[in-house]
Amino acid sequence: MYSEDLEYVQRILAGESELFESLVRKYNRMAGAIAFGIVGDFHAAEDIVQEAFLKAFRVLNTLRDPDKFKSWLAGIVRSKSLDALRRRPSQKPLEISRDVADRFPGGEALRFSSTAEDEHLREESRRKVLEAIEELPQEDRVVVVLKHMEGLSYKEIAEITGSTIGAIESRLFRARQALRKRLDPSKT
Amino acid sequence: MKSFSCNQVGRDLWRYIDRELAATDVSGISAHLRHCDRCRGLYHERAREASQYRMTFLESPFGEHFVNKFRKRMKQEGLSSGPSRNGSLRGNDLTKDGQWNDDTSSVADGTSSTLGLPVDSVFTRRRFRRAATVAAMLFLIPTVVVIGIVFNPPRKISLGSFEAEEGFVTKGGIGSDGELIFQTVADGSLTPGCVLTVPQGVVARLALRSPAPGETTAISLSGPAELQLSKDAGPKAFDAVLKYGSLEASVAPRREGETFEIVTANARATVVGTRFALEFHDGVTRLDVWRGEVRFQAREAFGRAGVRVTRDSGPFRLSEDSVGPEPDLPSTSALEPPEVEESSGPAAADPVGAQRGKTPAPPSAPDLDNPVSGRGG
Repeated sequence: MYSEDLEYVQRILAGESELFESLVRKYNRMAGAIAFGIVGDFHAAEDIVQEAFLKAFRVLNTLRDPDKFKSWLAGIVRSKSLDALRRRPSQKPLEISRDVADRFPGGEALRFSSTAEDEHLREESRRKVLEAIEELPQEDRVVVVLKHMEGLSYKEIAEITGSTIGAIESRLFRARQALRKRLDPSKT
Repeated sequence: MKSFSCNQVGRDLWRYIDRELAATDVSGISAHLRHCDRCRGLYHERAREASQYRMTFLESPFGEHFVNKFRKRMKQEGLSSGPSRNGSLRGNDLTKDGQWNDDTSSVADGTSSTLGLPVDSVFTRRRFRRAATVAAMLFLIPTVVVIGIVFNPPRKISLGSFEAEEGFVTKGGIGSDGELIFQTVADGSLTPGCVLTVPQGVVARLALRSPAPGETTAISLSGPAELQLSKDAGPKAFDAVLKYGSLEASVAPRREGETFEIVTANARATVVGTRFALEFHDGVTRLDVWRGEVRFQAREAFGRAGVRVTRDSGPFRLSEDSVGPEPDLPSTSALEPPEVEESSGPAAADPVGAQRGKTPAPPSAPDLDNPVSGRGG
């Protein structure tokens, strides 16, 4: 069966290093979702993913099965994210900065936004969503982010996280219930 | 068709929204939702939740922005990714056998560079060139900025307009202060970089300016769908990303050097002047051409040449491992709403539907055969 990644890796190793950018383009969102899922901070996640791609480029020749580039990269990102978490001095490692929260809108308040009051509501709403995601257990958070940020299927998430489809489905279900409870307690 | 009880629908609702069910189950649940108010209410609630989570990540620092940053980082690290002539990577890149090929050390070890010039001379020239570039930039940038502000104050270029039928769409764009602004509106103008998110059951009609006066390009975006216009999009070179959902387009003919492209996460459709439909769900892009010709290829195309799709070719599909005709599905059926109602407006307002002899009016009930997709571009 034709494998795009296999061809990319073989050609990069054969000297067409510019093709690495195509792999970056293809997988940066997935890598970002994993890193954000673990560290809960987009700025940190961006740095982690940069470092992970650099490492992947440098040690690409050690990849035994080029067809498995995606899961190999996911492993590098996961490992770098966990390292970053361990190095954090903060007692509450997953705090989302106000700056980050401000950049990511979401929620019902978005629907009618023109006045200053609406603007305030919108800001509160997106902060609430990010804070609620932050509160999830790490494994659940990674699954939620891979699903909703990257739009991956249960099977793809299972492959990346090394879990089963059933486990992914139940984590997603549990996480969504927890998010609903936190964001709108009246509906639970 | 398989029939579903309320309990079964409740159990499978997230799988339905996440597009994890087989086609027969999707049809069964869609049928149940059409006549069960309670389950439909629950579906709308869950679909709104999914949309809310997705919106939270809409402007993450990843995507093309990240690729550009990473390219700069590679250059900073001396891992320039320019084309290689001799089979090894450039600068400090890895060689074919995985060993480091450090140009700096090889230059330092020898007495001459690859150009045959003395090492000192090469470095001096480089330093001088860099200094000259920096000096020129220091002078040029403020001058250009001042001239730009004085003679050409910043203004928003309008690429056309849009109108939502039977509802509202969310339009995201960069405000004058650089902040991301989201508005829920029934109509508005299309500006470069803007994002249109069309909810379930709503159809957004886009009218785009074309390079030639008097010609309009029409796009019909059926919810749930999301389309982002490129920051560099203009009437002569239009490109946009269909993050999920489906669209139909009637494109004014393009001339030499004028382009019209819509990409999905894995495919690129380049238009010559035609009418076509493009759909992206679950990693598969489906293209159906009614008139003219569209070049269809993998977004990262190598090893797979693009194909030219015409009306006679029938629908084409592109997934991770294949590109080719789709013989199993009837042409365009997947893109039409499940129940088409009588025309509610003049046919002229819908050139796509009018030319096809059908009016793709928004369904009165949500388009339940196309449940919310979480897949983004």
